[in-house]
Amino acid sequence: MTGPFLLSLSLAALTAPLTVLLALPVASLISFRRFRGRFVLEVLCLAPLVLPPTVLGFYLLIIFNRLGGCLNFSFSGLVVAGILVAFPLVVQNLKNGMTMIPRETLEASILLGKTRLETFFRVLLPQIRGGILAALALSFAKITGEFGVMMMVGGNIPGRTRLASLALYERVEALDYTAAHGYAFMLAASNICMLAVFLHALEEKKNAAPET
Amino acid sequence: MLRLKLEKCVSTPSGPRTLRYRAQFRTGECTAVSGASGSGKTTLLRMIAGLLVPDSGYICMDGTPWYCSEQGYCRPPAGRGIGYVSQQDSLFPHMTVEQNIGYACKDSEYKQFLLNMTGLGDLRRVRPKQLSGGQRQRVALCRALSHRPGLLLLDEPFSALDRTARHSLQNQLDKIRRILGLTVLLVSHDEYEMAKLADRALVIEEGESYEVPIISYIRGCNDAYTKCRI
Repeated sequence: MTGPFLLSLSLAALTAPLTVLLALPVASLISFRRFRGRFVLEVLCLAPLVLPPTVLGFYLLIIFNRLGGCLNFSFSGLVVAGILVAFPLVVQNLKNGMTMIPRETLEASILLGKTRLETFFRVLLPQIRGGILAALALSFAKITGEFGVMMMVGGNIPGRTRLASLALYERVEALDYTAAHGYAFMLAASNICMLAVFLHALEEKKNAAPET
Repeated sequence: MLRLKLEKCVSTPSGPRTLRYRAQFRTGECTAVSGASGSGKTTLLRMIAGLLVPDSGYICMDGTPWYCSEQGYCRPPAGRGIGYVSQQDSLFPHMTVEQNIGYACKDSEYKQFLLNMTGLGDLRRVRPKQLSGGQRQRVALCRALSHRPGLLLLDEPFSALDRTARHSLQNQLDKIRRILGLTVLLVSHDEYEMAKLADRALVIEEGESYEVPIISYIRGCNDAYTKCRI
């Protein structure tokens, strides 16, 4: 029983930080720059949130096939799917954190002779610590619980792509409710823990917000 | 000397309006920028700082161009060596007072000099959240001076402070600018403050700007308290 659960955890532990890393530049672009296509970029970033998981999984399979098929039904494919699924949540969360930062603090850093990159790492990132932690927790929870996309992309292969959410479904189909209860409990407990981390991070974000 | 001739079209509730500025600011002098709310004082400061790009004209500091629309040249804000203090709190909340001031200052002696001049020595390990409004503006002033700028832009830096804090900060600013020989542009609505700190006034009216000696400007003002104090 622990195999699929550990696979889910390792997938989430790998994918959540990757998603945050990829989402950081995109969120800062959307938050601070005014450019043509900004709205389209934002829509594209949020699209996975509104697309049915099976549709998303289907398109991913098509894209993976075009790329040679090496990502189909593999752990790497699940990582790509996980990033795509969690990306909208992470971008939105980081964007909310970034727009709370007064523009004057970033301008002050630039006027003090620092580059945009230095400003990003020394002024922006420390101020959205809570947002980053919340984004990590949310994406972790989203990835461990994702079913539709993972089923389409991973194919529920035992030992390779059978995640806890897929194993739960498979156990219910087999009327093995004892095992199903085990998976359900582990998934619920891990995601509730992540919710606690998320709420704690939000609280920290609120405390860190500058007084107005 | 800072010389500029700028045009900028801005949108106002009553439609688009073109602001025209023409001025010369002598090195080591403090110029008060005066005008009604919405007349374009902050716009001017932001254009000089490079945070806002003018539509046309030029900005030239000691013979070095910062902006020239004809040549399509605009020096980035980081390369202009400007100190900027705004009305809004712009301190880095995750850093202590010392870290805020040391952000762009590697010279520990100079940092110590700034801390002593502004009386912030005892608050060096405190974060901005724990400071009063006056203390915060003092830190902002120190930080703006920390990279030894040639030009200091002050956008109503004392307007949110009570009279005692304002007077104390005005005195400190006056002392520091004389010691460092700084060129200062001070946006203010307080005529007493202008008279106390500035040598000249740049008046912005109906989209045009003109310079007058501060004494002529104050003589023309209607504030009896200011006239009496002066």
